[in-house]
Amino acid sequence: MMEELLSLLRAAWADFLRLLAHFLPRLLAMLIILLVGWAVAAVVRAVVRRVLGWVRFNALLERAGTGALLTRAGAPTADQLVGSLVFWVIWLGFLLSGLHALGIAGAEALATDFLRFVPKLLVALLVLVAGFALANFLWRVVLLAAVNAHIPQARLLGALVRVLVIVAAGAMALEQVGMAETVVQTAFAIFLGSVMLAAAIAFGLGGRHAARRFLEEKLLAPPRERDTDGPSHL
Amino acid sequence: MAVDPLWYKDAVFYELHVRSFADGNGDGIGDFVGLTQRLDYLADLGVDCLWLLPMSPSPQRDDGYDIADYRGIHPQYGTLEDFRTFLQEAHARGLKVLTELVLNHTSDQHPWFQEARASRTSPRRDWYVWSDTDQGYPGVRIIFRDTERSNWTWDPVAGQYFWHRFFSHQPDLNYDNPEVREEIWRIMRFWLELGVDGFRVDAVPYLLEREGTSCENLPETHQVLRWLRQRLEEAYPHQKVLLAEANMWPEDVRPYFANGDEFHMAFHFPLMPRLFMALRLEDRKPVVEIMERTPAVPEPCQWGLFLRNHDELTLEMVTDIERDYMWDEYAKDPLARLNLGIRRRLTPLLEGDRRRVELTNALLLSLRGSPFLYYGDEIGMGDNISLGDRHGVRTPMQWSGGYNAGFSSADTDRLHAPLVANPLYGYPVVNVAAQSQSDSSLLAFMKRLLRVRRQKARLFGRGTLRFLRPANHRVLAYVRELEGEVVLVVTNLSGAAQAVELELGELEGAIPVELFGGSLFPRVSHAPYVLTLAPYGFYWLELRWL
Amino acid sequence: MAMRRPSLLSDTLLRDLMAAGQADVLVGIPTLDNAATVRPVVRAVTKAFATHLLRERTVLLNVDGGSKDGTPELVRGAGLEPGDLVQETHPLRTVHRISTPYHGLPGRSGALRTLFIAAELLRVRAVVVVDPDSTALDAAQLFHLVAPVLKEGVDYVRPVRPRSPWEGPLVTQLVRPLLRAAYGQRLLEPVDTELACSGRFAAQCVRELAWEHPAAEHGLDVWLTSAALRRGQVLAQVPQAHRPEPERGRQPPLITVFTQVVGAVLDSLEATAEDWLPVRGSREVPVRGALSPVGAARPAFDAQALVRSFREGMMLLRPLLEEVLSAQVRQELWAVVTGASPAISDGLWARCVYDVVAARHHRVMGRDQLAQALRPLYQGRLAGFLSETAELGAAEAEARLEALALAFEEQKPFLIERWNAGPRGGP
Repeated sequence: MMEELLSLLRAAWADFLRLLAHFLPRLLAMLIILLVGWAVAAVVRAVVRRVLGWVRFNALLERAGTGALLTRAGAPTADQLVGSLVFWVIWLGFLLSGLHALGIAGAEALATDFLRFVPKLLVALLVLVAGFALANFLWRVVLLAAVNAHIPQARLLGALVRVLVIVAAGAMALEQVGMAETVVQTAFAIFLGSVMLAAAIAFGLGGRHAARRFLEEKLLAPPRERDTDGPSHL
Repeated sequence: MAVDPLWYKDAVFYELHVRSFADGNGDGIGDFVGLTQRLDYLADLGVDCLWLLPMSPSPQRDDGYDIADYRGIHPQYGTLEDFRTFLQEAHARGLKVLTELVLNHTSDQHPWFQEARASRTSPRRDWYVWSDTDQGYPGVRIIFRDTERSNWTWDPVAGQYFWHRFFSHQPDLNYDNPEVREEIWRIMRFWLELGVDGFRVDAVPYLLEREGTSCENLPETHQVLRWLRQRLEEAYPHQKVLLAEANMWPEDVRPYFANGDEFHMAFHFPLMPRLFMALRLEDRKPVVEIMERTPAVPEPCQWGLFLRNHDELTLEMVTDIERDYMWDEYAKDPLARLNLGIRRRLTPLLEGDRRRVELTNALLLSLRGSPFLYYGDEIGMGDNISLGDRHGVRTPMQWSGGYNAGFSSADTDRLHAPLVANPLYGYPVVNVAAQSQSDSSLLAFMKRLLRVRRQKARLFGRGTLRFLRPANHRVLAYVRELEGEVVLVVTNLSGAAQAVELELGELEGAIPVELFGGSLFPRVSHAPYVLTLAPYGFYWLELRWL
Repeated sequence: MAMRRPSLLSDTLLRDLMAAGQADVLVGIPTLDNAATVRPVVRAVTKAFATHLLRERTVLLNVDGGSKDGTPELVRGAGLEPGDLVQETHPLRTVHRISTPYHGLPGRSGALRTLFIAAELLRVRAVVVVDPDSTALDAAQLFHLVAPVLKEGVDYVRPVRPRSPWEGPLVTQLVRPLLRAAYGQRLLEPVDTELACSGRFAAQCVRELAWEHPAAEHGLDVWLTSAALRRGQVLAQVPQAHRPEPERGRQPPLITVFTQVVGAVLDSLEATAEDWLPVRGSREVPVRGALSPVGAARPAFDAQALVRSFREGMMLLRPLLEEVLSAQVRQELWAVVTGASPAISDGLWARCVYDVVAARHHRVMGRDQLAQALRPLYQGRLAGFLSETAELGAAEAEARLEALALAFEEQKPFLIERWNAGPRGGP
């Protein structure tokens, strides 16, 4: 009995040791990969931040209006953000290959999927940034034009344009990363459609008179520009 | 303001002899004090850079090209301090200064040669080229064939023959010896430190000798020159200029530009006789041919163009038929011939014809390259071919019609060379003072010409040149173009009025504006552009798209 | 190869210029449907040629933007009338009178460009630009305008008008004090449409001005003036007659004028920063001749509308102004908006303008957008000025304008600081 127990324990111990001998190098390998990965990611992050600093990336975004958004959201500056993003992407890549080295089933497939996903992610981010910039630019143009033309709903008009462009950019970005394509498309179509419909209804019903007056002024009345009635400012 | 490192490409150079320009101390010989006093004249004339002929101590057996001390000023010309003052004053007026670098040979009076000949074991012995026989390097041509019989001369003191490509009192330095090269660089540095803006480097093709060759343009010679340029750029990056005197065909001169790392500039010798030939033939062919035969040079390099200089009008770079033609037409008097050339100044060559003098100067200043004027030619000075060697074109500058032409207060007999006093070109008739009084003098014309050229200096110095080929061969016409600026030059090489039809197709729509008077000409259309030209007349037309 | 663009000069004009050859004085009249007013102007010019400029080579050049009312014919036909001819005064030389259409869109830019090119080709000593509706112009005035260029080597002459302190508020409230503080020279009418300049200056402008820029219509005179101010050209001012207010129908909307003029000022300052950054204080531009007392006319600006526009604009543009204005300025402005009768003080107004200038430099947004964003503020400033000076006489109101100009000069260090700080200078 005792004998048996002992032999069993011995066998278990031997198994455990064998397993350990099998597993330890892999663990070590994984740790090394993680360590190297971290180092590489950190170096690349530093380089990216430095390069973005040189090209005055922050100022660039600032000009595009995205920077202000970040500031308002309490986020770190744009070059910090991009640096961190790059860091995590690289670090995650190494982590996955580390798991693969550990011999965990499915890790390999995960790693390849991930690698295939990265460029899409970058494009999506680019689309998003460009969308923000465009949205902001159009918002300014529309707002200023509307205010200076004394259109009462200037702010609403500006915001509408801005939201539309951002939503469109978001949809494009999501599609790019391949997330529930049909859902996004449908949702976007519904959103756009309802906005248009609402606008049409609003214009048709509520603004009937305004619309009529507008058309009359534009098409029928002799050209009479606003703002010219007063004395000369020059 | 930062100086354009390529300034020499836009500059107009003025060659002068200190000895013949102005005498400041009344000893009959021009000097730096006198020259400094005349700097205002040169600045007012509108030139950009002065090139001084040799000014170092010398026995003066080859007009100073036989140097006896590389680091000094010839006592007749003043002191080093005088020279320094001159440099400062010139720079203060925006004038740059090139001096001579005679590196192929020294005077036989130079202490180096004296040491070298004294003993075979002297450390200086190997600074020159010696031989026990006069048979070495056979077949090497003799340049001064009117005076020299061999390139070897026996030196009784040394007990050996020494090698010389020029006069027998000018032993060639041995550039195979690194000590010689180092010493020459130290000499260059000495002058550059003083503020000199560059050198006209004399007789560059002849530095080294190799058996079985012509001993000219050797690869080893180029090596030495590139080494000097490298030292120059290390010490004075993009500041100083080296100008090569290599009396050769343009394609043979081209290697002296190397890849822009040897010489900045080199003279274009064969253009000059062809300008005169074209004028005589009333045919543009010689000029077009030689310019099209001229190879392209690297971007920082530039050709130096000239009509006349302190040497004879050399006819080495022409065929025998052409030379005979030139001699018959331009040197009917055998006294005017020297070696393979004609020793005359510009105006007498052109028979005193003001129109041709103006035309040739207008060509010189509008062709591609940096023009060099020779002192006195801007007032149409004459020469004195009865003086020996090339002294006839080196007579004192004629400043006024007064005593000694205003050149010197010395006793007339003590002038280093007699003044030109003949009734046609003598100083009472041809002088700066008289011409400064008149707006229609040659001097006034030259000032106008230089002023207009300066307005377009970059275009004329650096722009592309494209010859037009109107059917009328008496008309030489070309288009200069740089960075969107276009100037059309049209010249009548003949003594009769001419009409010409120019094909200016791709310049359609341009409005020609004449650069001297500013007059408008009819717009260029797709049809041939008709111009009429007075005898020896020329137009510089800026083409504008407005 | 050279830039081969279609020529601005018609063959006829080129032929006319070849015939004229060279001239000392070129008087240019840009026209577009000015048949009603152009005759007396041409007459005054012709008379000036015949009396004051009889030794000079003179050319009258009418550049026409495509009039349909026969203006060019009128110019060609107009001239001295009986009674104008004073005995024994007639020009010694052939007088050239040219009327030409110019290529491109009708407008001030195309007209002046053609005029300046003609001036360069004729190698004139002086160019004068007169308005086709300058009915008050007489021969002596025209001569006075050009005399400083001809006789004293002045490069750029602008008129001084006996305008009241309430006329031309865009000039008096914004352009004049801003340019004065920037370049340090007190030019009273920097954007008048009449001027005289040297041939050399005209030739420079031909080469350097952005003639084809969309804002050239109203911005051109700003560019001309800042080109003259930056290069240390010799300037002078000459008293001229009061200009009639343009007809109602001919007046462009404020927003167009404002955007173009202010935009041109912003661009000029951006392009010439190294010229004006070191300047402190200002000096007089010499006036040739006696100044007439300022007028007292009060143009009927709708103060209520101005205030409304200001408040509305401030509200609606708030998020946008946050990007442009520094925090302190925003705070003060906000206090003004919420006040009972808004009045933007001189110093605050100067800093608002300077914030916009700096925002242009840091490219916070496009120049047109910046100009548009400034307009409500301008309207607020104008409303305040009108109400504050409602009880004042012309001389006192004029003194207020001088105080404003001084405020611009005093606040210049604020501009320099904002200029040199990052795009978001204010915390």
